[in-house]
Amino acid sequence: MYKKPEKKPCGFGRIKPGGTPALWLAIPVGLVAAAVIGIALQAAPVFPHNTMNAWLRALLIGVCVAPAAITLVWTVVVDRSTIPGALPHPEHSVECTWYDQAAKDSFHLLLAGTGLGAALTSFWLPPMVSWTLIAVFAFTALVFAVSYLVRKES
Amino acid sequence: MRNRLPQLRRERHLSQEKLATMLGVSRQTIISIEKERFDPSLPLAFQIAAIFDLRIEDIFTPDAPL
Repeated sequence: MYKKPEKKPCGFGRIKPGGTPALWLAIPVGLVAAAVIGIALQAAPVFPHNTMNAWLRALLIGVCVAPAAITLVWTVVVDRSTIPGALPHPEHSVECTWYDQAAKDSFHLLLAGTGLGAALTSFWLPPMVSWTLIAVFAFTALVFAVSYLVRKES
Repeated sequence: MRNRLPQLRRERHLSQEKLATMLGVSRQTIISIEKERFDPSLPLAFQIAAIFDLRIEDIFTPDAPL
C-alpha cells in the first residue's frame, strides 16, 4: 500500500503536524498587518509639521513594524510541537524556573527603581521625569494587582 | 532535596541527554536535578519515578527529616 511520505521538518515549524509551514502564513499576514498599521499611523498627528509624502511615511512605518508583526503572527499560528528541537515540556525544565526568578527579580527591581527614582528626581529634575517614573510604577503595580486577582479568582 | 538520579541513570545505562529526551525536558534540567540545585515539579518527579519503575520517595528524599 502506498504510504504518503512524511513532510520533512521545517525550521520555523508548521501550523499543524504535516501542515503548511508557519512562515508561509505568518509573512503575508504580518505584512498586511504592518501595511494597515503603517497607513493608520501615518495619519496620526504625531508630527503635525512633517512634510514627508504620506505614502512614504506609511511605507517607513510599515517597514519598521513588519518584523514585529510577522513574529507576532508566527507565535500565534505555529504549532510548537512541529519546531525542530522544541522541548515537549519546557514548563518542567529548569530554564522555566530561571525565567520565573529573573522575571520576579526584574519586577521587584523595577518597582524599587521607579519608586525611589520618582522620589529622588522630584528634588533635582523637571517634574516630567518624576511623573513618568510614577506612571511606570503605577502601571506595573496595577498589572501585578490584576494578575494576582485573576489567579486568585480562577 | 537529595536524590539517587545519577546512580539510577548509570545502572540503566542512560545518558543525561537520553533521559532528558524521555522526559521531554532540557539536558540542563537533568544536570541541575543531579547536582541537587533544582527540585523537579511533581509531574516531572512522577515521570522520573515511572521511568525507573520506582516510587518518588525511592528516588527523592528531603534534606530535613519530615
